[in-house]
Amino acid sequence: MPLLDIKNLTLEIPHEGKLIKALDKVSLTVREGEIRALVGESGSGKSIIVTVISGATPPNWRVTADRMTWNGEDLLNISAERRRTIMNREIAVVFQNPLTALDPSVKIGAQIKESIPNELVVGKYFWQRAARRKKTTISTLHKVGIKDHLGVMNSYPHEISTGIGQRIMLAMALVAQPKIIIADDPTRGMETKTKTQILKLLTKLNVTRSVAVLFVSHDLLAIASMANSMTVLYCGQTVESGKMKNLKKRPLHPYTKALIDSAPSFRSDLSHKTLLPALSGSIPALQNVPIGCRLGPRCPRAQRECVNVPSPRRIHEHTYSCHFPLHREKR
Amino acid sequence: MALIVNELYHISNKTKFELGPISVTVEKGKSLAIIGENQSGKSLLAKILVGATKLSGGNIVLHGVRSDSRERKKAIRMMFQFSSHTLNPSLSVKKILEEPLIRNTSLSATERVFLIEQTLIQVGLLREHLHFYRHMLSDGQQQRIALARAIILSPKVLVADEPFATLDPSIRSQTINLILKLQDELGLSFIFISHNLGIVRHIADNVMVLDKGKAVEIGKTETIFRWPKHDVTKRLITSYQSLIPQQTLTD
Ligand code: SF4
Repeated sequence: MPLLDIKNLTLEIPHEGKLIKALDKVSLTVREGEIRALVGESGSGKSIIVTVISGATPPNWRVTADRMTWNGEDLLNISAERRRTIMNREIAVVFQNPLTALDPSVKIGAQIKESIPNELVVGKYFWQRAARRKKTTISTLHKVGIKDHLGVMNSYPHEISTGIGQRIMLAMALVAQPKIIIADDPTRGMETKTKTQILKLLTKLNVTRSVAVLFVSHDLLAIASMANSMTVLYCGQTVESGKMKNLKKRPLHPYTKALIDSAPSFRSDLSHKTLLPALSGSIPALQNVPIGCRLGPRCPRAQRECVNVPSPRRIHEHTYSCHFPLHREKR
Repeated sequence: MALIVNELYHISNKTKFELGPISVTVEKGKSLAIIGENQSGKSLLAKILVGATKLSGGNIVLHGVRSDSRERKKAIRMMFQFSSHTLNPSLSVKKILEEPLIRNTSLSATERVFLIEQTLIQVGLLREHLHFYRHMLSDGQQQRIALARAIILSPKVLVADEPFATLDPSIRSQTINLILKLQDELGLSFIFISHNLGIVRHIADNVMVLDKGKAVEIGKTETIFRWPKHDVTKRLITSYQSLIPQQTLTD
């Protein structure tokens, strides 16, 4: 049974008297202990999915789904309190910008100690519990690769670099011993060295503590270096999903192919300074998405059928939604 | 027409950060990538090249261009990092592109509009975009406007600080293609800072590695990637290569 199982999730947002489908039948699963990448450009709805999973949707958003379960529990029909417990203890979300997620006026050590759930702090007397919190904080900081724990604990958020900040966010996520870490674009704008360190850290946590990771990003190089599987999103629709290595080698959906082609590092055959293959245009705004397959107007393979939404087709563990997939013509 | 940087040197009054001395030549139509870790002085160097920050020593020579700063400012232009705030929301595209023309040329109003239209077409937009405002343009189109503003004075050299970092993959490929095309058509020299070494390897002819204000290594892109000499270069290249899946390397 997958940890997180989302099938045909649709999200409608009211806009000027109409309902806009910000997500249109999105499916996503994360199994225990796996690293799955959720890939999409801005406007693809990838961050909206994170919002929906964490239950932080405004009351006027309409969320419907055939299935949206966490560890077998129906996330759409549970009490607010149970939901909060799940978010505090089992699902940890790490956001892109550490500085905005931390309280600027409180020292980092205190903030981490505070985020340790009470039930994980044993001890009869308050000083025993305080000592326990401190110990957990220090050991977690070590786990995320921070050696100078005292220096960091005594700093305020503005005194630390982005790389360290991202580690602190991870540490705060880890103290609750979650089953999954959802990392929303954690490496955006980072230089390569810091980026590789964060990626290694996530992989290490995944291996040593078997935490599942949902890595939300458009950085294909980062994704390919660590993810086992990926789900590709375009403009609120799931276009393709499957094992990382299959998708990379043989993408079936034209959009997945375009994304993979956009990273020159994947192409050893590309000669210096030649034009990169690129789709024309850009992701449409949600207010005026095309009908049918939303890639239609930009898709080099589009034909008349594409005005109907392609339904997902499945070959083994590889799912794609396209009327005219690549590599499969001869069938 | 090459851009020649001779013993460029800068010392900051406040932080005492020293940059240089740096000497490098960028030929017409060629690209130079500047790479390095944070705080290595990359952005400062870019600012000095476009004349936004003063030199403390050395000089920058562009063959065939008078060295008084107005001429140089026209010939070496900066393309700003894209963000949705780069363009002023209350100005039309026409106003945005007209501003450098009013400040740096003596063209008449009709001549200016003509030039703006030509430039829009050059960057793959339409004449009609003249009357658009920021909110009517997609990210990709805004990026093209930013590029149009940088090239409208027909510069010889384009300088850009992390031009691709915040772009989505497909817009990024489009922008790279556009720059390659302009280099080809106009013989534009392109100097850019980037931490995306995949792109650096693909579009740069030469690479300069900066560390604590010093250029520790300068050379042909392929040479730097294959045989990095300096420790800093080695570190940068190794961490980049650790991201590339092995099968791509051996394919
Ligand atoms: S369904 Fe049609 S428009 Fe959509 S990706 Fe496939 S071929 Fe292109």
